[in-house]
Amino acid sequence: MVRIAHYINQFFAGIGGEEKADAPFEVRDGAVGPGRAIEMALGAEGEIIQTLVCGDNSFHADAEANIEAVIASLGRSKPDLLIAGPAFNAGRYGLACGAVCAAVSERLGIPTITGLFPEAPAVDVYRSRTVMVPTGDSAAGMKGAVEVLVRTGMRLAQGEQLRPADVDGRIPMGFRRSWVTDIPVAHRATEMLLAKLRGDAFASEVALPEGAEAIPPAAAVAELSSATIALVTEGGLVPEDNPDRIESSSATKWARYPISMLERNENPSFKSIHAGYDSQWVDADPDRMVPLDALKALAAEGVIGGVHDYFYATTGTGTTVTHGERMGDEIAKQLISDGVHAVIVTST
Amino acid sequence: MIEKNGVPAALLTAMTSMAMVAGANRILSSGLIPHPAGDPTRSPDEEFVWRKGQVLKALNAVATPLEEAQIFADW
Repeated sequence: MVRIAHYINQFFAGIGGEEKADAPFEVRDGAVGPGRAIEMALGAEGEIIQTLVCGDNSFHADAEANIEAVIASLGRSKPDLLIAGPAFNAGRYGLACGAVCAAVSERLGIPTITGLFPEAPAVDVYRSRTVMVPTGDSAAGMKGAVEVLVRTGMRLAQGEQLRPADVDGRIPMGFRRSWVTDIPVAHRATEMLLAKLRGDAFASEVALPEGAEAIPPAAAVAELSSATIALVTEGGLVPEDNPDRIESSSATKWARYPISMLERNENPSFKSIHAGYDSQWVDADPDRMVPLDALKALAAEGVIGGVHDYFYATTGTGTTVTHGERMGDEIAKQLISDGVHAVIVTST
Repeated sequence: MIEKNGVPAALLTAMTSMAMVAGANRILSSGLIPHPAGDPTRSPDEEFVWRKGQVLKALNAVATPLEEAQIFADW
């Protein structure tokens, strides 16, 4: 019989909704709320020995102390598995599930699993640190979510190795595991090519990023000679002291800097902090990344109305699509509120 | 995302096929990966003239009505 601990928030524990989000951490014996559905799915193979409950606000108000409380409790009860949630698309609850699972896996060596909507905020933060199964975006999908949580959770509890994410029906954790195959790569590649030529189904061994959403082109600028143009780059060009601490890779931040500062280019001068290309040529002349000299010259000639007072920068290497889209959206809204008509973007 | 918000945006990059996959609409092949708006093999004056030409192409791209994503020919 597999012994399972279960983490849920105040809502699923039946304490209350948003008005009870400050409910303190507590431990109850046996199954509570969705834990009962988990036990139904487990049948005779397992039981929930205890349920850990914490309010959504209360958890994050002192995450460190709450995690310590979880660790202390599970350190005593020594379950075979921790299930958290499922939290669906919830923000605070999902992040709490991710944090609890990550800490329990890493510090106690107990396998952990949670269920989240694939676009929930906690997925990007904790995907590499706990097993996650995909769920719908609301509790309406509870039944299916519980079945897949239990199926994969039982495999973990019994010490079975994870299989590839698509085989297990998990959210990919973002790492690759090597295994031995009897079929040499040339044979596999040839088989794949032949299948492709025949029009048969085949699966790549290297997962490609999903294609981006097609965006209808924006309307063209009608009159360049009266348009204000802004410069944007993912090339990581920032003042040399990087005052906004934009990351060298996997960026989550963007910043804008006055073009007058870039024109002066001393005290501070501008450098690229981008970790994905050799920046020696850009450091020697930032116009090679942000072509301000050329755009100013075209403004002086009357080709365009003017150059926007700021240029915008982030780092585009290892940056997740989610953060990239968010930053792009934030930059776009700033540009619109500043009356910019069109943009030139440079990308490495 | 800038185009999604209704502002036309031209992308200067050496990696046009990746720009296409990433969902850019107005794409221009320019420079090399580490310096899309630079050509260090030219003298500073010639490089400036070249860059001005690339920026002018980008301006023409944002002034060109499009139905779908396009890699602009190096005209």
